[in-house]
Amino acid sequence: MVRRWILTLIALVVVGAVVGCAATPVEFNFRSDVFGSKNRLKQNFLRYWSLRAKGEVEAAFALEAPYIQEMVGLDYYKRYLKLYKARLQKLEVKKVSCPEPFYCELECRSVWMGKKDRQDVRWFKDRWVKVSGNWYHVLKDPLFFPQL
Amino acid sequence: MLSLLSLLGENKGRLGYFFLVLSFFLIAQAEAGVEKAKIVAKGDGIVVTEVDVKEMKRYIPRFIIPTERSLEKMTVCTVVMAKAAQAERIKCEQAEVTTGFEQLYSLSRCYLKQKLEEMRLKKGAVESYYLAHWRRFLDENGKLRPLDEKMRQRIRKLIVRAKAGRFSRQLCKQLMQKYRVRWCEGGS
Repeated sequence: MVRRWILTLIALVVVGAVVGCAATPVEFNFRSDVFGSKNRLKQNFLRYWSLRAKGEVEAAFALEAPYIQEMVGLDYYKRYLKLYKARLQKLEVKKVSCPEPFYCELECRSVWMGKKDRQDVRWFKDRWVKVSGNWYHVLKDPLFFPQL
Repeated sequence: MLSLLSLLGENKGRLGYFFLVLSFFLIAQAEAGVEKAKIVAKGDGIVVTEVDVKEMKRYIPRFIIPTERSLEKMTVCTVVMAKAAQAERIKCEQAEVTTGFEQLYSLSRCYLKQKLEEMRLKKGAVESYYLAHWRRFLDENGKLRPLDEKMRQRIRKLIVRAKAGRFSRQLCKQLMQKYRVRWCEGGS
């Protein structure tokens, strides 16, 4: 009887942890006109960062530019994302600039939740490329991927 | 000296017998030495010994110090790729002028080179590289150079080079399965 209670308790804790993690979506914040007419870019941007935050690596990988998929490979990509110990909490898009119709750079401010609830604010430039009508994320990390 | 020569002359028959026995002994020792070369891995028509592993070391740049295990893996990959090159009759000029492990090494390089050339990339891989790195492809007037065949080949080479290591490991794994290569006792 006691054993059954302990097992139920463990199961509840595990389910709670999984549901708890999944139920903390990223909070996106941007001006309604920041993406202009680029709705598909906006959709893919939201999708990509939601997937990254949820840890759905394979689906996020499919949104990386095809050349990145080839040059990096899923296994290495998985290992790379595992290095992110902090959880993405908030993502703000401050500016979208497209020097070419097929290439856009998004100035972002992100808030990450680290260990012991320590918040970390990072500014970064998110790059996107349009190939055959679809927008793809352009992963850039010269430290890990100097070949990209 | 004279006495030694006279002794040889007297025992000519016995000395001949002695040399015969000695040569048999030496041949037997040499054969035992060959047999003693430890087998690292075996497969269908494939035997990789520690002599091959030792030979493999010659092809590793000096600044790289591989572990014994990775060296064994590299040797097995070289041998299976050479075997596949022979099976697929891949043309390899370098292999025609070499022998032994050097020939196997040349064959494996030719095989890998051909497979990399034949490798099909994901749809849009070349285009996406070109568009994502458009700043690199501007001409003197700031105009984007066209993605012609020459440019395509240049970009393809860059992508293939980045993928080569991963691709060769996958290829080796497939060939090891094909030739049912198994590691022998003490091997990896």
